[in-house]
Amino acid sequence: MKKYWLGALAVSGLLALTGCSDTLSLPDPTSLIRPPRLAADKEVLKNAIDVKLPAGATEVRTLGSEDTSTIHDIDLDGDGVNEAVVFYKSPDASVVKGMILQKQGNTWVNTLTVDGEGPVLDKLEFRDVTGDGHLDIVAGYGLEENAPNSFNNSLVIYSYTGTTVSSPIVKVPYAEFGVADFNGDGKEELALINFDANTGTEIKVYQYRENSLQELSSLTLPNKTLTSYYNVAAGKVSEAVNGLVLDMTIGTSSYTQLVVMKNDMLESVLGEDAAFKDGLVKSEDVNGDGIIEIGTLRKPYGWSYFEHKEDVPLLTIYSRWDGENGLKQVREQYRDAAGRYVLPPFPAELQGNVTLDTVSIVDKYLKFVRIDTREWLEEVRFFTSAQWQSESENNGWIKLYGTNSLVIAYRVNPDGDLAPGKSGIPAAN
Amino acid sequence: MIKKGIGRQIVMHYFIVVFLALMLVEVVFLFAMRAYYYDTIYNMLSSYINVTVRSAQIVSTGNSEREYLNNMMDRLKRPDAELQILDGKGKVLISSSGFKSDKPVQTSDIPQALASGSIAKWIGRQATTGEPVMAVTTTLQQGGGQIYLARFVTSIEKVNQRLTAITLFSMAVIAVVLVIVLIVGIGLANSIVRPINNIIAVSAQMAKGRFDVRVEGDYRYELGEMGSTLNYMAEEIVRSNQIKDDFISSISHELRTPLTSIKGWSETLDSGGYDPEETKLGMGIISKETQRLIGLVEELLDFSKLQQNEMKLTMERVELKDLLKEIILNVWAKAELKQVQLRIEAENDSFAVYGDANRLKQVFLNIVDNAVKFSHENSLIVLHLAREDGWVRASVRDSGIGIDEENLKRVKDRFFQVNTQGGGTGLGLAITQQLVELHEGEIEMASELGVGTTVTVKLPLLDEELPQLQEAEAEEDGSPENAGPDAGESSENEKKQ
Repeated sequence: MKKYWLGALAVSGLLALTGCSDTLSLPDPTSLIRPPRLAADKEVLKNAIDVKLPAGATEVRTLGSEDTSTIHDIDLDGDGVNEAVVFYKSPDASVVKGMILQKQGNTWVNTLTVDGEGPVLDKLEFRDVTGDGHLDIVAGYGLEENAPNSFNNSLVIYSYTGTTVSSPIVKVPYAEFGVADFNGDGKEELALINFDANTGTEIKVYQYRENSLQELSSLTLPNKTLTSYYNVAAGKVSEAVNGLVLDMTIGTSSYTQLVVMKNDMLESVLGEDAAFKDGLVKSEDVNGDGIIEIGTLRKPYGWSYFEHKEDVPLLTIYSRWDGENGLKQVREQYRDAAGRYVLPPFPAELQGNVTLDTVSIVDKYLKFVRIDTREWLEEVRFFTSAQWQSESENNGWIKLYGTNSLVIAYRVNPDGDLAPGKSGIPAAN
Repeated sequence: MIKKGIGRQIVMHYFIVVFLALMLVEVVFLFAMRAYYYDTIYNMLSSYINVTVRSAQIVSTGNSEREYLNNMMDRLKRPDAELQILDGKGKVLISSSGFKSDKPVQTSDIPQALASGSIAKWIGRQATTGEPVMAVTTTLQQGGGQIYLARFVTSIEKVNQRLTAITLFSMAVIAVVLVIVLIVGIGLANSIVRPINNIIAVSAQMAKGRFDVRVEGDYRYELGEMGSTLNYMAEEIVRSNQIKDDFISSISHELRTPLTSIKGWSETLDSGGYDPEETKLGMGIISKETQRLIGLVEELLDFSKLQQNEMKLTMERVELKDLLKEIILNVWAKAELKQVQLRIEAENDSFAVYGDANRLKQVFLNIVDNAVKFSHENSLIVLHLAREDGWVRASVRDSGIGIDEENLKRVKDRFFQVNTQGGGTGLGLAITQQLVELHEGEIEMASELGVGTTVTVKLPLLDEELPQLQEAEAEEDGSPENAGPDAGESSENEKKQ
């Protein structure tokens, strides 16, 4: 009797097992993964965009702007609520298109679509170029695919009012552009830079007035040999003046031109030699004071007899425009030519008083010394990983860079001027 | 619930053992599942990295950082994971989500990837959404220069849900198994407890004196043995009661016979005027009957001593051959009456054993006396002596009436008599056996009804090569009253004898 009962139990157990067999079947774990969720508000926006994007279209990024996002969250119509701007490209379309979404409550509605001018989104800025108090979309399109640093781009300005979008300016050719208040009238101007192989660099500053761009001033930089504008920055170049900084390459070297407006006329204030460098340094606001510094490279003191420039470790100098025709050094530091590491800037009292001992060998060992006392300040050493394993213990080395075969580390002379507490600057910045 | 007792204990032990075993398996299983799921995902991503990232790095040559990042993003991104490209400090430079991310990533995969220069993994929760994610990070190097990190972040929420489902399912299986175990365990416990309860009830009745009850039921293994042992015990108690009763009646009879005779003769003498002839005859009979009574009482005393382990032996070297010769002389008169011949057959000259001469004499006297008693007239009793591997075998073979198989088993029991009408206490053989056992010997009986009986006594042979030691020991053991200062020790030695 009991045996029958147990049998019945076993049979029902088997039935239960087969009933749950969907749990038992193990799917490929890789089929279960998906991108992580975004924060709730972003998720809502993302979903809205995905619904509204044409089939097969992918969101695009700019090639040249600092902003690497594809979804730009910005208040265009000044109502205090951000709009979302997305540029995308359908696989069969020849040009990039843009889309503006407006937030209403917790949903995104009212999609407006704008057509672009080229297959690539070169640059995108949100600036009030039209002077109506609201931000406009300043979009630069590249006219050729797979052609970075092309001089053939096309600019469109879109103005969004809250219900409609208009394109007051379309198809303005440019190589580079910058937006800033160049003439100090409180309105932003658009500076367009074009290159002409016969005349050189042509810079024109426009202001938007009466539904069109009015040229305020123009300037031609005569150098015709330059190969690219590797960096163009528009913004404050001194406490009071906005200007345009152009980093231009000539072969492997580069030089920087600074263009400002004086008495409503564009003027290049630096000679071509003033900021010439044997390499590339990007001009940017390195110290966070809002003023663009101009980068140059300097051969350190005592290295003038070295002929091969590959053997010379160059110091990087950041300078500010002095308001006249010169530069005023604000920072001196060592940056690795290959971009692997950057040493903290030298303290103000040591600027101009630091060089490298000539025992230094690029990519092997660098020793920084005071010019006046020859006292060593800091050193950089390239270790193999085996050396690093044995060396790293308590010798004051601070790792700057590491791969599985190479470790770059530096250390500060504990008795030198860079030691923590002596110069007021922490050693590891 | 099951009430306290062996049943509950069995069920609990059964349950706990199976539960622990299943839990162990479960833990191992879940760890293995977790490892399987996570490792598969990690391996997929890392092999993707090994294939795609390495080739992308070779193909991709961009001038500016921005181009490089765009390029890598397009080449590396995959639909099932968010790709972030970070700088060495964890700042997100570009992300496939399309949104700007404001906070630098600070999970452990970043320093690990930087330190090893290869692939590192991190499993944790997203800071923003709390979603469980796995991040697999590798280093990118732009043309031997600037170093970046490619970080694939993928949600493992569904994986965890799947793992939870598996956990719940296996827990359910365990619960079912445990229920089955419980049922089987209760069944098992009942199969043990029920017979035990039955046996307890029966034995309680037996304790109250009801020896007619028996453990019924066909129990298996130890329980069956226990039941039958209990039944056997009851039978034995009944039987020994019977023997005791028989003994009392026979001993009473045994005592009454000489007493009647003594009483009769003393009355006769008293009333008969003390005729010298008659008085002499009467007094002789009275003396003989008194002697018989003393013998009976001696036997009972011996037996009682043996029972209480109070028998003291005076150990010394005893020559069995001489002993047997003496015995033959002792029973000569009795044997002559029945025309029974006694003969010693000895293979060697010396059969020395270590023992108490008087007690051994009592042993063999008893055996030979019995042999004479149950022998037919004109028969032969052979006393055979032989050595055998450190033993002396002394066997007494008669060709008397013999004992049947049933009685042979019980003949050594106390108070047992094959023929209760024959007189005697039924203690003789029991005493004999105990005495032999005190000498570390054995007694065997072989018999066939109508053919005769052979009683064999095996005693340890005295090792003649150490005679002095044996004698010294004999002296010490033989005189416990005169023992050295430590009387306790010598009495202990005695007990060992």
